[in-house]
Amino acid sequence: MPLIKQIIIALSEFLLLDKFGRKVLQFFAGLGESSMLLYRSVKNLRYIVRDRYLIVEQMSIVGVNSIPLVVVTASFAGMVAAVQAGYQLEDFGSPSMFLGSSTSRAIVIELAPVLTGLVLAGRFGASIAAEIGTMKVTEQIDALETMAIDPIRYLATPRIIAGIVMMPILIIFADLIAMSGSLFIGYTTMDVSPQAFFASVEKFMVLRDVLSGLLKALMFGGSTALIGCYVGFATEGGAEGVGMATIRAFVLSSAAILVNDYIVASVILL
Amino acid sequence: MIQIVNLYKYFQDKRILSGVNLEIETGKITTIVGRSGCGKSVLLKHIVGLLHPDEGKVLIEGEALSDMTTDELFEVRKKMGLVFQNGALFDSMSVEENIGLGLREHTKLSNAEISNKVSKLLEMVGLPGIEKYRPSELSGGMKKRVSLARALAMDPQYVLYDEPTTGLDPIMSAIIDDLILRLNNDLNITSIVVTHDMKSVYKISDRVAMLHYGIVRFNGTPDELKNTNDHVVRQFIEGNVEGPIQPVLKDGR
Ligand SMILES: Nc1ncnc2c1ncn2[C@@H]1O[C@H](COP(=O)(O)OP(=O)(O)O)[C@@H](O)[C@H]1O
Ligand SMILES: [Mg+2]
Repeated sequence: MPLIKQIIIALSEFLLLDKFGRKVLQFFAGLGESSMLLYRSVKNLRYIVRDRYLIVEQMSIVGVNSIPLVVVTASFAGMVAAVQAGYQLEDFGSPSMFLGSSTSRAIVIELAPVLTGLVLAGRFGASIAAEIGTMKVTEQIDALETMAIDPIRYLATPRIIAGIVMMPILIIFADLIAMSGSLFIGYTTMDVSPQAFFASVEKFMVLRDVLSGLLKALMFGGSTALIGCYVGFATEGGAEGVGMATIRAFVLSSAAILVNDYIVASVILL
Repeated sequence: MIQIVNLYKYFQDKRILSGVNLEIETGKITTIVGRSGCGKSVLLKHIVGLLHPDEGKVLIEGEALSDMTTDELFEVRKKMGLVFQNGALFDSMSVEENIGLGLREHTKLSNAEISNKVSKLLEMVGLPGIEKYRPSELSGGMKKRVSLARALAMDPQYVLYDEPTTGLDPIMSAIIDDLILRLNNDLNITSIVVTHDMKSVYKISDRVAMLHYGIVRFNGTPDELKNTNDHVVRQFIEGNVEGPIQPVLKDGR
């Protein structure tokens, strides 16, 4: 009896390992394929003038649809930052001197890009995957190919460019809204005047803070769009497949944001 | 001329095509018949290079698709139109944008010239005035005809029809059959028509090929088809329940 048990355990361990190994392999295959997609999208940059309408269309889709999300996410992020900073600054006496800089630096470096990025990853990564995935399973991608239109040029490149260009713009917008949220909380609950708030921002915030936030935004925008496209093109199996693709795009692009965030943070702050 | 040479195709471990040989003569209408799921759509997709054979090749005017660069393949595709079984219309675009896309992408025509041409094409397929409709507002048969108009937009030399009359009423089917014949006669378009409709097979075909268990089981003229002694082919064209063809298809053999 114990022998059989041992065999079963060994076997299940082997299977588990095998499954894990397959996942790892799949991950690297996916990484390779999405790099390939990125490469082919970049190659299409030579058509950027010809395809400007497609690009502008995607940019306006990203921009317009994002505004409400950005407003809500950023204002609450800013308000939370102020509440949290106020609580921590209590130990040091007056919050008015430091509230502006401590909230704003947290906002531009981390809070605005990451929180907004995550919300938009859900919004855009998923909607790109759903759109392209639907086109894949209903043979619209095949139709583009038969019409001698490269689906990567036509679909992926404009979306990736739109992500890379629009995300920093949205994040600047989010920065401003979140800072207003912080100021609002500081002014109403901690007696921090706007003058004191901005003086503190001016005194302590450095350009590098803003730039690292924007660099993050650019990478988040690019990776979200790229993952949405990659997952979309890989969709198989009808409406059910499209649903799975949507979830996959959301999960993967959120994870990519956190990974990119760490990479940029450790490179910039070195 | 299109030549399909010893074509094999597997999906996972399932063999769909096992050595298809077929020549499509220029300027002729070749119909391909066969049971549902026997691989007719898969064969069409090989001809336009959407699927790649596991073995064998497809030659267009003597050149193998598999030897072409992407640009060369795109040039060949500009000479071809494919009418998808389910239309495959772009649902983010209006009917006009669907039909005009190829013209917008590949020609220097002005917007006015494009919409003019789109209107003519829509009239040709019996759907005048639906330019501004969205694909979601169209019935299945209308989608198919818009797909046909889209396939014809670039004045192709070859048109591949995947079940163009399935799901249409008899009168509309006859209109489409006439259109296929007219395009073939007037513009000398080489046509490949996948169909189940034996009536249209006899009406339009110069040659008929029957795909069965992954190979071309029959290849000949409509008259030869009528007089064939092959029991399998007879059962199919007469639509008999009894016969050598089992009601359930076994895996690709
Ligand atoms: N992309 C694909 N992946 C896996 N199997 C496929 C794919 N396309 C077609 N098949 C299978 O190939 C067979 C032939 O399909 P198809 O060519 O669409 O048949 P039909 O003759 O009715 O047009 C079917 O069994 C189908 O399930
Ligand atoms: Mg089919």
